Amino acid sequence: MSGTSLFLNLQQKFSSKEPLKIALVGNPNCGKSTLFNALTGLHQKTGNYPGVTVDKKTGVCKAQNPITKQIQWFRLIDLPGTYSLFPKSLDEQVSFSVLMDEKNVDYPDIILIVVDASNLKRHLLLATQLIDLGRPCILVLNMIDAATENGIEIDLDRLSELVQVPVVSCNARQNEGIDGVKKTFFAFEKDVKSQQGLINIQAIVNKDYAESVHRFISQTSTYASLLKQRSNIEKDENLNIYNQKFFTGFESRDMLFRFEKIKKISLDCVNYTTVRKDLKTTDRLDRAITHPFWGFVIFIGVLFLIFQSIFYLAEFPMQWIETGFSFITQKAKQYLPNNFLTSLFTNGILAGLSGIVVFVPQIALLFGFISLLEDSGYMARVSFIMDKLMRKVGLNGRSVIPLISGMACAVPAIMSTRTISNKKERLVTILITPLMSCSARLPVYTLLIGIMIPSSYRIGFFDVKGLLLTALYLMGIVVAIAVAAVLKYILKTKERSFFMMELPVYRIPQLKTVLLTMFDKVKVFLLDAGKVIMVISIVLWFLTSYGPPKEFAIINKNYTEAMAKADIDSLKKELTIAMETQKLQASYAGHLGKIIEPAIKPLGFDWKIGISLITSIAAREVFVGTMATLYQSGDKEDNISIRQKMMCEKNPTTGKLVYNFAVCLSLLMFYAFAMQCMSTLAVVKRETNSYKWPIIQFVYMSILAYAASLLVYQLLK
Amino acid sequence: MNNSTVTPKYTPNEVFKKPVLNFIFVREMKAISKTLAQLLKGESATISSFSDDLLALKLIEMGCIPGETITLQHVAPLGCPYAFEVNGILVSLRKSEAQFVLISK
Repeated sequence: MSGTSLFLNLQQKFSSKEPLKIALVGNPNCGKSTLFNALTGLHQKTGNYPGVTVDKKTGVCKAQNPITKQIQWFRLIDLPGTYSLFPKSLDEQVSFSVLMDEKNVDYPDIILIVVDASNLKRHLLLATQLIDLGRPCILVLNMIDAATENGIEIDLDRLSELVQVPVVSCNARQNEGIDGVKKTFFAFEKDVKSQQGLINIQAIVNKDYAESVHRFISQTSTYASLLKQRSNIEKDENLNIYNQKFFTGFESRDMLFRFEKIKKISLDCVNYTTVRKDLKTTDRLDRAITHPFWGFVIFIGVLFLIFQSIFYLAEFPMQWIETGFSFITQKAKQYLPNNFLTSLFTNGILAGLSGIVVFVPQIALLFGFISLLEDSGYMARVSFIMDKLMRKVGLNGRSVIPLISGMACAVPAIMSTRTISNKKERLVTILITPLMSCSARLPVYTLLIGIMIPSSYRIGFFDVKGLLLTALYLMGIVVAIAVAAVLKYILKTKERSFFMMELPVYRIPQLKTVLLTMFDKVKVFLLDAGKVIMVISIVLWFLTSYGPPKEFAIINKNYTEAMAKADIDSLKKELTIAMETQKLQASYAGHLGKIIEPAIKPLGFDWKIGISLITSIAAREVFVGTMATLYQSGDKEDNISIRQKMMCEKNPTTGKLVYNFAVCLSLLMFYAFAMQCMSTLAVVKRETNSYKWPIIQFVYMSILAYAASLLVYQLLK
Repeated sequence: MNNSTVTPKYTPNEVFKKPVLNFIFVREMKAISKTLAQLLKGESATISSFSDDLLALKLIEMGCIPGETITLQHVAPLGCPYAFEVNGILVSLRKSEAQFVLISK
């Protein structure tokens, strides 16, 4: 389909019920997402493009027809930022295939080209390429206020004449001119004109070749056909031999031709009155931020702030969520009949839900901060400052934020790796982040250290317990970096890695964008990772509350008999606790513990620890709760009573203490390295879009944990 | 072979055609053309060409085209990467990438 027929077809679509599809396309940092948010508001959803982990944002927006005054709906898609139609990264590839493949579900009817008005010359490169596709395009000059402030005056009518498409200006951050943008959607309802294009095809490629390609591929314009052919050649080796010679130097000829053209266009319709002010401010800020001393001080300050907030600030809402859920569980147990369904509901579903919702505060806070950093322009500087340090071990400067956040919780940390554009660097960051000591390890560490070092030993000023805890945190960091260095050589990519990037000018971040990002990430986590967590949680519930029917029948019988005899309340309570202990030991999880005992014996663990290792897959801190049940400690929250019970535990055959120094240290090693967190696994599955990487991660971390524990126990026992 | 008989009578183009003498040409070229990696902080230069195709494409996309003036604006605290200003934007490049950009003053 080409030329006029395309536009006629669009006219028909205007009168049909089906909403028209509009794609927002633009360079990174052109304010495209802000405009998308302004147009769609909360009518948007985030997902992945099929097969890749690139955020796909779609939404709907209604606009009033300026002539008929009718309200019409449009379907909007926010394509990943791209510099040109020569894709080089995954993001750009996604944008290219949505724009060029008619069979794609998101193939747009109208292309909304978003450019930064204060950087018009450079952003017009992509714009002119898109216009040359010969499809219905609208050119939106965003951030028009910034342009005016910096003394850039643009004659919109003249520009529209020169580029042959409707031009409209707006300021999406302040919500100005949004209605004007919506009005232009209707520009193609009546007006049928064919664009002649801006590029001189002969100047960039052999004319006869271009014509034959166009006849053969017949896209919407000769230029579109050439672009399609170019991408086909890259995919298909056989096409390569004959065609490639025509495309040598095609891209640079094309772009240099366009820049010449743009120079002429801007001479004709752009007027520069003063020097740019925003560059000066940015320059001054950058001087401080890249300062050898102050740069690091600022950077560490920012990291500290983020870490503190997700570690301490999130604590309060997390406690509310936990108490809320335990209240509901209690009430449910009280009022619902004591049967299979109630048990499934309270111990399986509610426990799973609570395990999912409890992450919401941390995710929301971390993404609030990340959005602030991205939006202000500081995130690019984080990369800039840390690059030299991180690239030695195959990481990106941006890996620092996920890694530090991983010390609070790996779940939001892994979700935040999307800011790393290089595939390999992102994957390595995802794989090592769970090695950082997260806050769920803390209760386990405190319990075990308490058993190892009973009274307060001191070396000089330092408390030995505190020193050991610090050492564990440091060990997490060191091992994570060491693993990254190893992975650097193991993982192979074809993608050539470039650091080159644009450092955007500083801007005051927008509350709306920050809130939308927080909302979005929480939603995605609840819906996507939530499912996996729920399934694992129900499986674990089944394993711990059911066992071979015969054994359970005996326990139940003994218990009812004893209960009938017992007359004092305190005795009844003790009996209930004793029954829970017996049931857990007789459950399938208990049996599993006994099955794996030979495997974990070299680490110094008995089958009871084995049970805890299995239940800890839900989350590491479950270790403490399981220990409480196993050692008949009534109050699960009371750390001290569990500790005392564990300290007195003796091996029935040898009569020695079970939790001696070697066993405790071995357990600490195991908990430091093992991947015992279903939520992290669920998030890794989502973020890598495969089961392969979470499985690899689980296996390598288990091996690491086993090896470390084995080494420690065999040396110390 | 007696190297001392080789005298640089040729123009650079002629030298290039004789493969035996290529190394002299390369050495001379290195002496004449500076790369972005050699720029000092605050210094400006004109982009003349690129010696890496893929990087060239990415740079051209951002408006770093031959003929434009480029200034080394900032250096990261650890000495690498660099941040250059060109055409009203800041582009950061590693030292290893900056050496593919040839400049003239």
